[in-house]
Amino acid sequence: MSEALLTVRDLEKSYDGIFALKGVSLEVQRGEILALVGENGAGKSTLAKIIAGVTRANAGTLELDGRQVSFHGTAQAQSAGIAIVLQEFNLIPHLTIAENIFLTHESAYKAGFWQDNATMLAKTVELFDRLELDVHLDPRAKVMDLSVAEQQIVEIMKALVVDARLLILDEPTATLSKQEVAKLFTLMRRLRDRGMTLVFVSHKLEEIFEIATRVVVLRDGLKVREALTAALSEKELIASMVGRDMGDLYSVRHRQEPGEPILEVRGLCRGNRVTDCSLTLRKGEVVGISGLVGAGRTELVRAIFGADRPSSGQVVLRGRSGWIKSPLEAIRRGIGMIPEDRKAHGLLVNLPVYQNITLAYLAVKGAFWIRRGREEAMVQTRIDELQIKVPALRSPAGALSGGNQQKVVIAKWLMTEPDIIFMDEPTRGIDIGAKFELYHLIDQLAANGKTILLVSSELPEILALSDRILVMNQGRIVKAFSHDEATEELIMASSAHVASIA
Amino acid sequence: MWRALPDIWNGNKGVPIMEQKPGSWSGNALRNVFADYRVELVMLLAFVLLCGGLTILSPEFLTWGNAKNLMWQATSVGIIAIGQCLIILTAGIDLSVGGVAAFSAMFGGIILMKYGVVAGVAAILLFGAFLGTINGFLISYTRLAPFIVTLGVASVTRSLTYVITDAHSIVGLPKGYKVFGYGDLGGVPVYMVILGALFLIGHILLTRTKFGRFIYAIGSNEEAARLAGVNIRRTKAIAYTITGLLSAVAVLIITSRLGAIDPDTGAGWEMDTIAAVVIGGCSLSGGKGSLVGTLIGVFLITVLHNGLNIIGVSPFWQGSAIGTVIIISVLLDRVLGNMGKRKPRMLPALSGK
Repeated sequence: MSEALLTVRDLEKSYDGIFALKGVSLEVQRGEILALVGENGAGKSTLAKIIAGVTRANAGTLELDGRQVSFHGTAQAQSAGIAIVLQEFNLIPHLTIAENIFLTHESAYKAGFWQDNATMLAKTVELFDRLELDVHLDPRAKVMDLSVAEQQIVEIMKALVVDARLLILDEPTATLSKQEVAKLFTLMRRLRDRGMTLVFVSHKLEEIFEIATRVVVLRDGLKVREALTAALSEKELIASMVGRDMGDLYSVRHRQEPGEPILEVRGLCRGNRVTDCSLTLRKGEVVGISGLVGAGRTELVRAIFGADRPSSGQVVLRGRSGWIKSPLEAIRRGIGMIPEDRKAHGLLVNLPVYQNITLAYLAVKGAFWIRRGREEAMVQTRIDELQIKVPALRSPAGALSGGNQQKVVIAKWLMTEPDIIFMDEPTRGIDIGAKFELYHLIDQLAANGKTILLVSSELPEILALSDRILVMNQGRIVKAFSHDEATEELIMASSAHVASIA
Repeated sequence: MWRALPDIWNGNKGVPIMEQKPGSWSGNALRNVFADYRVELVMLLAFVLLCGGLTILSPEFLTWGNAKNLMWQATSVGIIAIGQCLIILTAGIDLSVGGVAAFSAMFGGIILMKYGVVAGVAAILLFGAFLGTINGFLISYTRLAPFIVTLGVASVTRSLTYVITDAHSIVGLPKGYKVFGYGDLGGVPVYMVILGALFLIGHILLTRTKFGRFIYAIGSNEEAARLAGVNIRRTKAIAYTITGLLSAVAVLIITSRLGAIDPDTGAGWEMDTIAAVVIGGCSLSGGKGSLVGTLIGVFLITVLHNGLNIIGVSPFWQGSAIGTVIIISVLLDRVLGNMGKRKPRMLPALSGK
């Protein structure tokens, strides 16, 4: 009776008695690209996972083509035609692209047992051809040698071989560069044109407006808004996501004259990832590093910080030259670094919040004996200052939301009272509210004479925050813009093109 | 149940979000002990039940004589398990404790016979610490896997022990040396005092000092710890050195009691100590566990051995019993972990779900 492909009715889900979804109903129309939008913790990923059979709901029903369905596991959802690409990929790194795509598919095996490589390869190539992918992938390449974007394509391919009618993408652009996002969107449109329905989970506004035909906004486990993208303004969307008007996200900086130079990098090289990079950081300045993923930004920052050893070049910190040999030395000399990959490099996710916050402090300043009372007091001060939402100081850091995790990382560095803080994609995976707070914090730190080196792939962010912007391209700093002259177009132009090196 | 999420981003200090007042480890001490030592408490319960059962089955079990016996049996493995626990907490492993013990005893024993008790004891301890340092150095600075390094060192030390004595034992150890195995301090055997003191020191080191904090940090996420300025190499090297030293202490006590130094000393200690540590709730992937658990693990294994002997079960069955306990304890750990007792109760908005 209904023309909807999928009807979700009164879905409820709770974890440990806490509701993630409090009765959500929605319809997914055939052939649309539906954006499921909301801040972190709004319940959008939970909803996506229930639809795809990853987790089960406590209450509520799913109807596919008007018939009630219930999935135990993703395999059942797949055979009904629903596939999901999760944020964390389910790929086997040591197997090839073709092997991953056809891992559990019967056509890859003769008599259901013997590996049939020829058929598998041929089918993979055919799949690539059908989609007219402009990235060329060798089906025999190992998945571990692929970039994140390429791995994502492999994940999507897996959905295609099971003939999915509904493909759910959970935050697919979180780790992609702008160009890669564009390619992904082309692929998504192509899939839609071939009759597939897509659900796209995201909290990135530009992307939602670019790709989605319709938007469903979730907040605190409830559906708060449902509209055609065309009938919605960016401001309205933000307002319904956060539940109030945010004001202008990108006008937080109070500009000031930077002070004397504090850190100077001369001709720094690291393998073939960083080539001849020179830069100067001044007191009270926010310097942005822009560029595509893989341009060498993270590698440059890590090399300066002493996390990786440079192959040549000089670092002059307050007049003292020579490389920084280890993170320990960097911290002793007044530098902190918020790494790009928070869970892998920034946090000890299993250890309590308070231990995370005092770790760097203990490493450089703490005495041999840890006095618990004092430690507790110090941690509490930082938690109040940054308004970190923690159930208890002893809860594992991994249990916090992305934004609060990042605040824990920041608190860790503020404890060491650094003069310079490197921030590598500090707003990745955190919601708008936390982002807003972080922007204010950066402004405040700069006003207090701290120096910030900010690596970010989000152009509006880097434009709004930085006093100067350096653009990296293929391991080199190819361009420097002052805050006044920089525009998105100029930055994109110098990061994307194989520029003549100035 | 939770009310709707208050407006947390509007700048007021939105405390109502927290179910429990933050920073309440002094206020809820008992509750925290339960949370922190959940696995340990369960193992303790198992231990008490085991002892109870054995007391019913055999009147011999709960006697002072047998208690001393138990302590004695627990001593060597117990002492080394302290070091093994430190290492496993860093996500490492030491397979060389038996070999290091034998080597230290044998080479130190030669000095003991030649130059007397003081020099001999010092030599044994130094050899242990030195071999531990070699383990630590190779693991920290060449970044070889601990499993490989310590397997190699185990093989080399055991082989050298046979080479130097041509597989003979050293007998007729000097009288003064016997104090470690037979001496007592106010009625308490010296080895018990040593075991207790070392556990206490180890526990304080792990829970109250920077070194201990770093041990957990490294096991939890080595790269994140390094980027936070933790000196990974030094911390690991110290953990292996401590374990080497403890292996020497253990072998000192054993050989003192036996009155001879046998080249086969310490065979199987690596597996016994690893078993004790694992039964005590440590995760082999590091960052999780405690010395309290390890101590319970040591005694659980010892009581199993001892108790099965006393009630007359063939010694051939002991391996099966201990193997089963290892697997059950790890399963139990998993089940308890999944019960989510330690998972903080959070608002959906905070849990990232």
